Amino acid sequence: MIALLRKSRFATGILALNLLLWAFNSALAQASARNTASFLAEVIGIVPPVMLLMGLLEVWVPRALIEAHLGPGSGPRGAALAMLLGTAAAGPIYAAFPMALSLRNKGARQANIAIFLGTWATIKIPMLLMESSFIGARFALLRLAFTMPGILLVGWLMERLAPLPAVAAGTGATVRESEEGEQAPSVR
Amino acid sequence: MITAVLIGATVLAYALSLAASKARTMAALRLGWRSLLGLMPGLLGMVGAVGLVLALLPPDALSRLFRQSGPGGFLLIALTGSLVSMPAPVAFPLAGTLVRLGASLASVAAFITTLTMVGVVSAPLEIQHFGVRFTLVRQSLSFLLALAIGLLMGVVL
Repeated sequence: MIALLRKSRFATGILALNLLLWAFNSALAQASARNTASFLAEVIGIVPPVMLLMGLLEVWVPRALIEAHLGPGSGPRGAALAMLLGTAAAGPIYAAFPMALSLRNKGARQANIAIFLGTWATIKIPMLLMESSFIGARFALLRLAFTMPGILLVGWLMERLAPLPAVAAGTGATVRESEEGEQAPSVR
Repeated sequence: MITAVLIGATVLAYALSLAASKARTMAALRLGWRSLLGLMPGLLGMVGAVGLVLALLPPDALSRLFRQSGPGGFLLIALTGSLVSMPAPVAFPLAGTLVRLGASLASVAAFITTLTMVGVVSAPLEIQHFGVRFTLVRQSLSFLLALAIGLLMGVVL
């Protein structure tokens, strides 16, 4: 219960801000509520399927497979695969976090996790098409050309600047029984 | 559209999984459900934050921001992209409008990159998964990357 309250403090804080806003400027608060409702509708269509797919990934994909293709010894091919996985994904970045954590718990290298997150966020085929049609193909392709090496560089730097604690083999944290209200996939 | 594809893929994957092993499918379902519950509080917070930020900084206020010029304006625009979070179908038409209104391509490139890669509102969720250090370093590096991309685009285009 306490854990749930602690985890809800961000949501509670936002709710409090909205109430405060309502007292001073009810039109703005109404706009905020409308935005929240429409965004919630989008999130509800995306997050549950992603979490259920992640459950399948946890259960069916063997650790050895991830370790071999995305692990510490996977080299440039691992980075390329991480990028490919990120592009193939559907949905915004908040859907990528659980997937990335799951890959990490299965032995993926940290650089590849960061590459996966970066690609998922900003390089996606439908996004490129939209960017080309609204701004221009030259703009979209150039941005892509600069972004790809940038994401690889960020991945490489992440491993050096913010190393995550090692995950011991067999402790796929997602599979662990967790306390009530505590999130299942957690590194710490 | 994305939602329909995603739900379709999930249903199909579960049907295949069920055909292969009932026990494993149930385990996957339980894992997915539990993770979803765990994610809920942080997710709701993020949804509320996105709604609030969009109300305080609506698209027409953003386009006013893009009339700022010089290095200060460029930085301000990149920062706004980190703070605001909006779905791609809103973001790209907006970016297109900004370009037609005369915003510099460098700022628009930096804006799109921070909009998608850096997320102050999704940071609590990222922290929940990967910790504070990872989140801060990844978002800062992505922010610097967005500035670099914007400057390069400004030089090339």
